[in-house]
This record gives sequence, C-alpha cells and structure tokens, in this order.
Amino acid sequence: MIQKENSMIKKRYSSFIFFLISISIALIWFYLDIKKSQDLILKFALEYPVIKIEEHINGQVTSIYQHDPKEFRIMSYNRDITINDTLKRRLNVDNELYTGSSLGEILSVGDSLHKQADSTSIAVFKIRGADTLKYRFPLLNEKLHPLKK
Amino acid sequence: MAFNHLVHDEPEGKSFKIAASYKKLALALRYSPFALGSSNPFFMAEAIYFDMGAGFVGAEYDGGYFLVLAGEDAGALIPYSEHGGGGAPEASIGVELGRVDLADKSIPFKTEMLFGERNKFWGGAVFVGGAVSYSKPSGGVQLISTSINIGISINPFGGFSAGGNRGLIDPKRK
Repeated sequence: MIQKENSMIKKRYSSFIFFLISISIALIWFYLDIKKSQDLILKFALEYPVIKIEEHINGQVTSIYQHDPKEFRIMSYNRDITINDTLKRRLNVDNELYTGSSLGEILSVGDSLHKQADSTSIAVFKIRGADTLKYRFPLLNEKLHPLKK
Repeated sequence: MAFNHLVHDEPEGKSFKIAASYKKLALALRYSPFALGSSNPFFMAEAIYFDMGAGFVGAEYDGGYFLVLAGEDAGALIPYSEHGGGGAPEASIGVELGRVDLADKSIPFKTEMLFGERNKFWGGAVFVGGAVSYSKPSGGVQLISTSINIGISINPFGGFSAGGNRGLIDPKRK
C-alpha cells in the first residue's frame, strides 16, 4: 500500500517537473520570438521612416517591399515603398478621401506620388491608358495618428 | 472601413438592432472597470474573443467570434477560424475566452489587426489553462492576446501540460 502511494507521488512529481520544463521551454521560445520580432520592427522602422509633414515628395513608386506574412500581418493602411529607386519611406495612411478605398487596394509599382511640404495628405496618380486617376490619402504618423501642422 | 461587409451583411433591420446592442455591450466592457460585477477582466481591451476547438500534439483548430470593443467597428461581432501547428504533449478539446490588447495603447486600434499570423503558447493543469498569443500587424504594431481555457486534456504526464504553436487567424466570410 505504502509502495503504491510512493509510486503515485513519484509519478505526480515527475509530471510536475515535466510541466515545469515544458513551460520553461515554451516561455524561452516565446521570449526569443518576441525579441526577434522587436528587432525586425526596429530594423524596418529605421530603413523605412514614416513620411514627415515637412517633406516634399514627387516621384514614382519603383518598389513595394513584400513582407513575409509569417513575420508581419499585412495591413491595408501601410506600405514600405521605394520612390525613384532611392528614397525609402513608410506610407501610413487613412482611407482614401473620396472613395474610401484602402492604400492596399490602390497602390502599385509604377504609380506616381506627390506631396507638398506642410501638406497632411499625399496624392497617388495611376495611369490607365489615356486616363490618369488621382487618389488622395490623409497621412498618418508612426503611431497611426493623423499628421498635424 | 475594411470590415464593414462582415458587420453589415445581415438583413438591415435585424443587423441594426444587433449592432446597436452589441455596441452598447462593447463600450460597457471596454470602458467600465466594474462592468461584470466586482471587476471587469476586459477593461480597456481592444477586442474580446470566444472560441471552441481541439488540439493534438500542438496542432490546433478553433472556430469562434471576436467582439470588437475599440475603433470604428466597436460592437462588430466577427466570426473567425484559427489553426496552427507546433508542439505539445497532449490531445485536448475546450473553449477559450480572451482579450486582445495593443502593446502600445497610444496606437488607435483597427479591426484588420486581428487577422493573420500569430504565435501562441499555453500551459494548464487538469481542466483549466491559460494562453498568450503574440502577433505583429505591419507598421511596427504589436498585438497580445491573453486567454483562459477550459476543457479536457489527455496527456501521458498526469494533469499538467504546456505547449506552443504558430498559426493563422482568418475572418470567416459569409
């Protein structure tokens, strides 16, 4: 009887130890994953700074960075872009002023962008055959709040 | 708004009533520290969720609903499915109730942030457990979900279990 009880206690004890080991491994994995993610967030924030109110931008979108969806959830309100092959910027915007469309629905490589210094919005021009479509997006800062003068 | 079609697909009269009552509920849950009696575990959450599902050695499949508490879609009840693969020494079925928070509360919440890849880990004893999920909407935002789980878990190590997985949360479209 006592032997049986002892073996039960041993089994419980080893289960609990296993639980502690598993949860420690899971916690370490989780911590390292969060740290890696934060490094990645910082890397892209430095590489693609958000457009500032004082900036004047006039050029063509020559590339849009395709984030791995396993690294970032792809949101419709922002894109990391290169303008004229040289200027890297993060476009954080609200929905289009007149159509309500999101940036993700509208922006593609080859579109032209225009923003005047001190303007709180950016214009996207798309050439469709003989027509040029114009969209205007209110700009947001890095915390997704509207740019203010 | 990107998720309007998910919110307003119901016949108009019905959808308006449901949306109005859900909106009241959402605002009460988000802004009242004592909305659920002595305390409110969902105070200042961006969204809450309820789902049920099953797991087997780290693989997981759940279906449930988000109730959006913040942002333009506050009050929207959005069905979703969640699936993932990882490692855990157990087979389980259960229900999960949790809250979603932005790591930086100064960022305005957008409903589309709820969907996409996420990493999750959990631990539990006997019938009750807890889980934490972490995800990164693009643009430097970090989202954290915390939940309690109630269910049945079978594993070779007595009543204790823990595990983690990578997975995807998708809105269920009608």
